Amino acid sequence: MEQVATKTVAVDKKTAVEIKDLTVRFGEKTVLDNINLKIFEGDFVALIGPNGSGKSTLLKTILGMVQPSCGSVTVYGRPPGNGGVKIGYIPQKLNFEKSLAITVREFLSLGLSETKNWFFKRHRKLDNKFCGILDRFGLNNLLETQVCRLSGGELQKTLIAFSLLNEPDLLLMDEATEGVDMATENIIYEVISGANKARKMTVVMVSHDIAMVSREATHVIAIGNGKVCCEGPPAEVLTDDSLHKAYGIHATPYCHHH
Amino acid sequence: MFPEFLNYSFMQRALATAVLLSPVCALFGVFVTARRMSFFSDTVGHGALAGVALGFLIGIQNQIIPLFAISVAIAWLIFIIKEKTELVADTIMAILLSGLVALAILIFSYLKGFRGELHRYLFGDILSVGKTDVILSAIILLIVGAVFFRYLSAFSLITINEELAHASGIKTRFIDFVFITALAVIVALSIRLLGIILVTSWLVIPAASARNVANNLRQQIIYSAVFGVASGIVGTIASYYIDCPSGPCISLTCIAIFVVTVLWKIARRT
Repeated sequence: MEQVATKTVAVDKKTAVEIKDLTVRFGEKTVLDNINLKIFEGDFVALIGPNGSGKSTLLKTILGMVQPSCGSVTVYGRPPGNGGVKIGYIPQKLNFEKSLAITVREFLSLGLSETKNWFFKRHRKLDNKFCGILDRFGLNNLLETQVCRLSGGELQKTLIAFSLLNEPDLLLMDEATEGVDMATENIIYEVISGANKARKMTVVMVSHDIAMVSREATHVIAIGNGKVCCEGPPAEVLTDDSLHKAYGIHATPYCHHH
Repeated sequence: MFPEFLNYSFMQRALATAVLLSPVCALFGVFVTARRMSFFSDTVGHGALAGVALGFLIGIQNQIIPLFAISVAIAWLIFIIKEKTELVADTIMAILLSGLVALAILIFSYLKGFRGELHRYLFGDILSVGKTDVILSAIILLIVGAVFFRYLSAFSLITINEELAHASGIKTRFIDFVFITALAVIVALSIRLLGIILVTSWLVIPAASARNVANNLRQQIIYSAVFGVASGIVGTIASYYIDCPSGPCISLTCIAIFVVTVLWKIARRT
């Protein structure tokens, strides 16, 4: 059965992500089962659902890392991973490899096409490329610090700075603020919401933080057992009934109000 | 004026090969250690023994050809099996390593009279380095060195996080393929000096030593290459003077440098 696409969307809105009859199987296991979705440009979409429901797989399918067993995924009209569209990705709690002495400056340089050959460039020349984003996150004094020595919050901010450097059209976040303190989380969402509103950056995030979802998202998709249980604006989806469908438990969400 | 050992052409060849090969080994070593692929290079190295044994069995004169062919084939086989099956990489490599070493020993037992050759390939021998090895090492230094710096950002990002690399537009599968092919070629060529058993030490130990003293990735890459070259030269010369296989001499030099860097790291902290 085809799920209903976003109802609140204006007719002239561009489609950012289109998913048609998507099924993903890993061996015998069906992880995503006949998903149909449309995400529009400038939407701030939250994917919610219990562990193992298929949220991260859906995100990786949009990224192009996981290939559909059936159906199709397009990002701004093209198959994902085919270039042309700038995608930012913020992984879930990255265990940064300690045997690599890479500094914040070097790491950020990897994200910019003009600094790809950073090895042969003078360090100072690279700094003006990313001082803007670093200012907003207060990371300027950490440029020389090795990434493996950053605290959890500093690492997440660095990862987000990295993913926003190229001004992506689509930002995918996989529980990106898990384990981050409230103050850092606020700064992170301030920056992401800013980019979402200022230049219509589409955001798709996986999150278990229902309060944050109700505060930040414009559209919520609840996934349970690899299927879309319900979708719509936060006020419609974050209800006891809908959450029961997705999570299998009764829960009354506490929502922030602006 | 020049040290006595430089009068011998076999020493000139061995030293030239050490100087040409050690930097590429050490450069790739930075990512071999970070990606925990030392067992991969061990499998390729040990498996190459089967190539050498098959070469002797069918009467090939220049062992470089089967050495290269089997090393690259093993690397690709690991890559393909890992992609197509649900087997863990560690298991695939353990099966291939033990299977190929067993096959090599069977062939050598059947052939008889190749005990010296087996010893040379197991532990390395400066006498076995021919002109072809020097020329090949120079070509490898140029090509693989260029590949390393061309794909340095891609190698770094894949090491950090594959999804992050993919989102940055990097063709992760292609880069992985390039990395393992280059690694197999380096391992195959280093076997002459290091021997099959100790070939991984030239990849892993200079990189690990560099990690102890480097403040950033650029330094880590430079120090790794410097430590690799130093251990190659000192180990080869030591092998001549103490009349011992070059593999253990180079490996022990690598370890000596590693110990010094650990002590330096401790001293810097206190």
